[in-house]
Amino acid sequence: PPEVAAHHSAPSTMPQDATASENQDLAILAAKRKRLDALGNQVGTRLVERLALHRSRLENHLDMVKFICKDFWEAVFNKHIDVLRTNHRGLYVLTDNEFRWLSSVSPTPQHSGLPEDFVVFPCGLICGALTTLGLPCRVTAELVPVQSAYKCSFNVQMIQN
Amino acid sequence: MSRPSLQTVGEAAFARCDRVSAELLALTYGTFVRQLLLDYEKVADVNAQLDAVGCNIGVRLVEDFLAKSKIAACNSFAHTADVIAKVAFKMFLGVTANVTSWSADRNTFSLLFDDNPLAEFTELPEQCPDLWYSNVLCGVIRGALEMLNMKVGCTFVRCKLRGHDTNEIRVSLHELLAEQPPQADD
Repeated sequence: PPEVAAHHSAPSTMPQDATASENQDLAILAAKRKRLDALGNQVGTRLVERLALHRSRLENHLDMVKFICKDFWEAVFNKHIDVLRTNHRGLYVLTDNEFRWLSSVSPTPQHSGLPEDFVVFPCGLICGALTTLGLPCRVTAELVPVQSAYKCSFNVQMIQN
Repeated sequence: MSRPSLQTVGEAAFARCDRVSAELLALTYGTFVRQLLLDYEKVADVNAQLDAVGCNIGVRLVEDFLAKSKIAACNSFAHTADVIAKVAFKMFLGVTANVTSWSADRNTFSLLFDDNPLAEFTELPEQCPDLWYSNVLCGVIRGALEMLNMKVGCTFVRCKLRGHDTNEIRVSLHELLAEQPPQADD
């Protein structure tokens, strides 16, 4: 059974003392991330429809999240999610202890971008998939470097209609 | 190295690689191309962008290829062609291509392949019949061979999405920058 997660942390990669040009750069970066997120969303929407084609209807939100943790994760990342936690009030935290898509990403950012940029698309994927299943949500990710990989937690916050 | 053994090498390399779901790849690529079509007005520009993106991929991918395929240096352009068709295509796309239609000077050949994992679930929109949907592959081949000191031109000439009977990429060698391709830096 899922444990109860008490913490609500809002990860912030934005520095507080940014100058005007830095602000502009951040705005461009934010716009790029938004586009990338939208692409992920579209792919997630289509992919989950194919994956759930021959399944019976998922009854409740927890079942939907579990479907993402098992079938969807298996199809996309070749493994199951390691830890699922929920506060039973619309927040789900999906933790992958060794996120595959970041296994070749260096922790020292160069011109190729920050490690955080590489989880924007997966966040969109998960959000698109869950929204299609019937759980409208916002998805953010937190990264923790562990040895040669990243531990990645996806925070799924349900949006109340 | 003879042909059947290249096939075996390709299959072994394919088995060694981490794999990603073909559906995920096809859907992601489709969404990417769709976004490019929205961003650029001319289909020709989209073709060029796909080629450029592919070239960037190829430049990096060739290292992965040399490391994982454990292939020895190619001794002729014909050998290179076979390695691309039998090992590289198998390793990265899971399909095998055929090398045909050599030109008289042995500098131009065609890669033929029936199954294209990138184009799964795809139909060309009516308003862009000139799109070479899988043009990224041309860029990848060009970029990878450039790293091995071979300057090639690479273009799609047939694509199943356009109603042709198969997929065909024409590769022609423009310039050999060194007699032997260099070994990987390690």
